[in-house]
Amino acid sequence: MAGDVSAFDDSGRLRLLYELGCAFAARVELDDLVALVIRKCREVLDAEGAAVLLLDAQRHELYFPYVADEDPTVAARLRDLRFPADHGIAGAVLRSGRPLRVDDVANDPRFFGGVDRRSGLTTRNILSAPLSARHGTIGVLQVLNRRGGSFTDEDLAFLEALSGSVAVAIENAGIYAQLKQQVAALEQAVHEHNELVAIRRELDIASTIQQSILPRTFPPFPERRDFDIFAAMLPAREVGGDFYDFFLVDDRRLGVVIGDVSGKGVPAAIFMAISRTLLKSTALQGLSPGECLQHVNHLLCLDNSAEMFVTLFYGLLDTATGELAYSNGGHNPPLILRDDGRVEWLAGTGGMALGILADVRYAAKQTMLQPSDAIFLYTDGITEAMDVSGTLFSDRRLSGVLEQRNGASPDALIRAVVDEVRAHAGDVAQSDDITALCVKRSAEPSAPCAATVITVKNQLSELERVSHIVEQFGERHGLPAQMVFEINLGLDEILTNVISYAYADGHAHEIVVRLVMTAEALTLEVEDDGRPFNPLDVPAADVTQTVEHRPIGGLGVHLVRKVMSELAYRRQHDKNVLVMKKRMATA
Amino acid sequence: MEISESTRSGVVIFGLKGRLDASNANVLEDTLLASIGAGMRRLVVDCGQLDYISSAGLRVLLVAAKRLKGGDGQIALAALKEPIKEVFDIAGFSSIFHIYDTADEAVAGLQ
Repeated sequence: MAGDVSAFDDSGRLRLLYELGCAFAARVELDDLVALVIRKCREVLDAEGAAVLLLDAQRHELYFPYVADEDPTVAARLRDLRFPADHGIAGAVLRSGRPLRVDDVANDPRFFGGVDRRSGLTTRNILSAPLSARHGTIGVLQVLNRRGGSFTDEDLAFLEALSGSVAVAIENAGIYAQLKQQVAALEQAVHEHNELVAIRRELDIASTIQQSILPRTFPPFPERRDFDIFAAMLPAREVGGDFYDFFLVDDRRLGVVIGDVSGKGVPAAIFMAISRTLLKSTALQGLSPGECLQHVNHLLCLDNSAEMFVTLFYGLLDTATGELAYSNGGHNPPLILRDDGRVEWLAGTGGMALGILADVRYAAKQTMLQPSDAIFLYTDGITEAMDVSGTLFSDRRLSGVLEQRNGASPDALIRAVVDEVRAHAGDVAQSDDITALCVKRSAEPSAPCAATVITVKNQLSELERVSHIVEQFGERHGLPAQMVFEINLGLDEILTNVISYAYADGHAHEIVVRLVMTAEALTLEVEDDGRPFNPLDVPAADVTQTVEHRPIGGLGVHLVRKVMSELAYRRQHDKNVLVMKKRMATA
Repeated sequence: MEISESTRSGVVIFGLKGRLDASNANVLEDTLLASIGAGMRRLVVDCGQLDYISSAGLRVLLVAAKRLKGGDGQIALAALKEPIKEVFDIAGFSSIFHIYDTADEAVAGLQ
């Protein structure tokens, strides 16, 4: 019926349908579309008024969002009107989902006079068609008061045809609005997600800074047998500012650092990175621990706009003698684990945290680490770890664990402490970084192990400089003067040969000399990129000849053979490598 | 290395101070040969303040000794420190050079 175009004898009706089709196709805004529909309905059906009534499902009321009436006052009143959804002709159509034509409303029991009374309207006859959407009737399209007569069935069929399109339009608009709302909600969610991602990223940055700057290779100095060192930092979920560090200031002295920066997140991580770098670079200049903290504190105070501070402990261990010089800037006092089983707190030096007051002096103290003694540095993430009831792990518990495990390796000690702290905390989330560093002197009276690398230019004037470096190396490691002399002689002879004869190009070259000292021997490795030459091929010199018969050359290699214990030559990667070994004199 | 030069009882005494190695051996060589070239026949090299010698230094002493031997001259060494004495021993130089404990003894020995 609705699709039967022949029913619409009036060309105006066809034109309306055509116009509406165009409007739909052009995606005209819903309000404009519905307004157009009812205006045209009124015109085409020659009616006094037309309206779309929609169901407010929540309040179960009908209201007039779209009204076209020849009397604007009436139209305005209607727009403010609402009435119960089960009242009147509209209510009946809504309920049944079928169109209705009422030619004499006054005599129709379904008619609801309330709308007329409140709007000033006098309804005589009505056409009402349901707006049928996919999930039920959402309202009605109504036309009233045919000028000079009654509506026909054809009028009703036409209205019904229109109402279907209007219903779809309204429903789609609703879906669109819903969609828009969903998109907005989604956008909000995405925005919030992005913010979360940004925060997450910031935490990641902080964590990366914190993790990447800490030395994590153990053992860090595999050639050193005179001490054992281990350190660990377990970051809390929200990144804190704990750090540790260790480095060889020279062949003999080991620097150990632990610190805790105030605050959390990226600013703390950056402040930590700055503190760590400043301390290490200052320490490597060979300053005493007190001077070191003083200098770093001064630098940190210069431009500390973030008003952050850092507690720092710096200890400098002479690995040969066991002397430990240290200065403490407001950090938890480390523990000394004595070989006899005692565990002692290291006396404080009275320094405050760094980054607060620029011109503070930092005092230093000394203690001795005997063979097999260890020093344990930690942060308050250990002693202040809380259990469910809020009880702290405490200093006492820490020293207790260390007393129990005294004698274990630094690695085992730190793992034991961390395990205990975790057992104590149980399910309570870790709120602060857990950081510890432990150094233990070896049981044997320190077997000297050291190494140094000297880069030498191919100039004879370098010989004296090299000899001084070797002398200093010998002094530092307590080598006998005669041995140092002989090492220098052997090295000098080989370097002289290389510098004088290995290069024909007149260019600058570098010769690399490596000194490696162990308890058994001192090994010198001389590496040059000159022409292939094996000094060991030089025939043994006859040193018994008289002055007249003595050849002028050939003495150098002879001396090398005599002063060194072992010699080996190899050509490797286009380089000559001569290895000279001098065994330690047995006492 | 520093080289001082003095003459006593017709003997030229060269005092060496510091290190004698390949970087400065030619300086000593020039000094000794200039002296020999000037007709000096009795030389003493005072090593009392010499801390180090390498084969380059030994070579210069050998060159001077050869030159003097050809002209009936003599060279003596004095006051070798222990490590340097050892280098002389290893090189077989202790048997071909006259070595004295002091420069005075060396000068007397060449009379």
